[in-house]
Amino acid sequence: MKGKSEYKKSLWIRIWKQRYFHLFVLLGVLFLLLFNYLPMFGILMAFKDYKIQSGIMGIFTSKFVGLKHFNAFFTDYQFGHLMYNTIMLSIAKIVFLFPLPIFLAIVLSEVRNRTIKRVVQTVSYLPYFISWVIVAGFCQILLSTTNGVLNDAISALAGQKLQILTSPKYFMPLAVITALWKETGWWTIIFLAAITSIDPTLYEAAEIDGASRLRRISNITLPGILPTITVVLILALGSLLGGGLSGSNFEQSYLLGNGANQDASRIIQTYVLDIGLAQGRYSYAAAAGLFQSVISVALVLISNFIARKTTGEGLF
Amino acid sequence: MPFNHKRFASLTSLAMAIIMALAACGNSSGSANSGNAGSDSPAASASSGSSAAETAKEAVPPLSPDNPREFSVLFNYSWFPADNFNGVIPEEITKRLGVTLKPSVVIDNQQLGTLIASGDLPDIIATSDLRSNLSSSELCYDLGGIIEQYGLDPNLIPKMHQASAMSFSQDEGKYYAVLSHFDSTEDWRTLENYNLGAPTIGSLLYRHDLYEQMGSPKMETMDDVINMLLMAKDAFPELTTAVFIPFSTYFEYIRCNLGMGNLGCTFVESASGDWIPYVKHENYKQYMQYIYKLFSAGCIPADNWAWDISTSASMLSQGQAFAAFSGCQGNALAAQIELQRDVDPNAYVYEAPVVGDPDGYYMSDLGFMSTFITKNCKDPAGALQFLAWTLTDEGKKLTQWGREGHEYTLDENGNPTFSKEWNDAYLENTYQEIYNPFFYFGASRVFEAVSRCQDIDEATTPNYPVIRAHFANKPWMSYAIPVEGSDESIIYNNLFANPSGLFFTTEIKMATASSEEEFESIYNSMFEEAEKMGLSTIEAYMKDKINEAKAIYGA
Repeated sequence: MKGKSEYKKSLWIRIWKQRYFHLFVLLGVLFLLLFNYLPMFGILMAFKDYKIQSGIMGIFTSKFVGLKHFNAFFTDYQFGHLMYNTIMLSIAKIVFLFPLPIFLAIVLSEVRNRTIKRVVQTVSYLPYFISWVIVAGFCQILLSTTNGVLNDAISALAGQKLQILTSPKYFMPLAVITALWKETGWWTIIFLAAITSIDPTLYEAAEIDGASRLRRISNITLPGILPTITVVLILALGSLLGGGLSGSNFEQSYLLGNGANQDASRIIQTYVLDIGLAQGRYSYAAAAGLFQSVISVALVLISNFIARKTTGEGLF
Repeated sequence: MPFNHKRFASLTSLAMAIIMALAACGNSSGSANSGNAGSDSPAASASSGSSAAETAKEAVPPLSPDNPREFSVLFNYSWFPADNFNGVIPEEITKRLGVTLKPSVVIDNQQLGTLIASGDLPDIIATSDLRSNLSSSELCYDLGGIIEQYGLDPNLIPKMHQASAMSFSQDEGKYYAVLSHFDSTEDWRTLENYNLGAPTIGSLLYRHDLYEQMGSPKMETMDDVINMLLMAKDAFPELTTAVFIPFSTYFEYIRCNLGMGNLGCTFVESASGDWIPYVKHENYKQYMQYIYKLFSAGCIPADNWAWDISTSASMLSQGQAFAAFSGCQGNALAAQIELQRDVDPNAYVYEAPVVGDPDGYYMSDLGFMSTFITKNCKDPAGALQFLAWTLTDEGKKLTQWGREGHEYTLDENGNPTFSKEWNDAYLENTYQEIYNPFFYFGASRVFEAVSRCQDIDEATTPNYPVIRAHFANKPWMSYAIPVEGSDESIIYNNLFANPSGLFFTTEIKMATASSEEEFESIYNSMFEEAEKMGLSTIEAYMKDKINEAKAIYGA
């Protein structure tokens, strides 16, 4: 067994030997510190009467007001529907979108024709690289009641146009379907990567033993990618209120939301933007944002605990 | 490896120390930034509290081509067309005053807040939002302080402008902004001398050629106007009957005709002369019922809520709509020019007549644009002199009308006649690139109306003479609006903010209600909710403040 000083010495020697790799890590660490940890000081704003003109130091020197802004948020007349919209939109997206990439990945892994496999893969993940601004533009062009191509087709079939862009009842389906179109392909790649890392001899052995294709999927593929599914699910639950892994709630609500559908499209994040930056109520907006973050952290811890208990896999 | 508590503690301490150091660095640089202007500039020390009387007045070079100055300007309006300082008017400004501007325009209405937070501000900011935040000695110069420090004329900024700018200031007795388009009722009366133009206030533009095809149905009451639109829906099913500009001019035409002032009047004058929330006005329900009627009959598409300003505005001018709820000041002419050029040379756009209470055409206006000199400006006295110059007759005329003898000539009564080139530029929509008349920090709405309405055929605007005779500005209501950050402002914004407040959001639900029963239910519950949110509290507050403000304005 190595002594303490010997261990320390070897640690520094190892670090020196791997210095170039560590430089890469250092960049990431610096990024995290600057953009994820340093701004956390701003959390203090939620407990103070902060005014933007007092600058960064104002975060520390402003008057402490305890939970005043949290109380104001919880008693805001919009709180109920903001929470409902934020949670329901996220749950709808997870329920409809989380299984789909797994299904598509398994189907693609079973396809033997490489050309078809590649074409499907490319076509399905390309939308991921289109920004939500463009997607919102597509929606306007296709779904407008005045000259939307898709709405014209609906009108020809159903006899009347649908207020898809402005009716609150259509906002959630619109958000889920656009997220599905945009994000599924990308997450399919993640699960496909997990599938390719499964030992092929397992499949060969199962085939020799006469296992059917469905049997191989349920007994080899699914258990093989379970750790990946678990990690992705925990991350998805952690960012549930932000839209999970299936599309940003904020961008969808901001770009596809409007005065007429805001009963369904307004979520905590867009509210924080409106109140914080447009109306200049930074402390109040920070309280609303912090509330969402606390719920997200709780969700990560709970989902990790449940995952560990049920599957033995978890993030930490 | 066993968990090492000591190492964990020391690593955590080290991380915290690094973070604190970084935070301190950020702060010190921020201070240096804001302090830079302060320490370099005596005006800053004057505004930061040291007594100006104790220090000698600083000599400040006058505006002159011999003393070239350059200021960066941010326009906090994403639609604002002034993204360069080229053209006849900017060149003349530089020639006369030695001032050159470096303009930029925000991308959206959140950008200014982000810039304030970052401290990365230009020399000058022109905005209608976040005025209270900017009216602070930590961000901007107190204009009275600059005047005192440099021994400038105390009346450089007119008293009424000072008082109005103080209404949104966080520091008692200090004013931080130069106001544009702040005209009194008396100023507006001068429009009658010019006998043209009207303020930008609710109007209904419609296709007069198509209206004639319908047999020119009468338009004597608001019911007539609504019925005319319903007729147009049946007569021209291929067109969108009417469009509106979301959250901008909205349905001001209906509001004004029902005696409720323009959209900015969150409090309105009741029949008894009291100032009450506009939703409590005796005609408010009727106003909403008219809007509901237009939506429920399919005259206005619900998609209109999802359109941006340009989409809404182009519907009429591109021949896709029969009518548009808009503002005055030449909008009918502008739409007609495009329509005749791009769609139908025989198309005409008229403004609907005033069909209701002409005294309902009023606004509570503290100006359109408030311009601030930030602490990043190295020459605050020069910047103030320039902004104050735009408030002078010479400044207003140059920034809004161009050069006398070139773009316009004055008759013996002072009425302008604009050159053919100027009028053509407006007709051809090339005035922006040729003249660039957008650096109007001290502009007058009256001057603007005159210049924009020169070529209007009076027959197309039967509403203008009526509006000119009755229009009033009642700034005391806007003066009374609570300063941002106060408890009252939270109640006020929750109720009246456009578009996120209770009333605006509920009005959309009323407008798009699926039945009259639903309309009634939404209407009633809005008042219940408003009371819970403090409507009575803010009503009492505003009543006192409006009375206080009326005294200031001598009303």
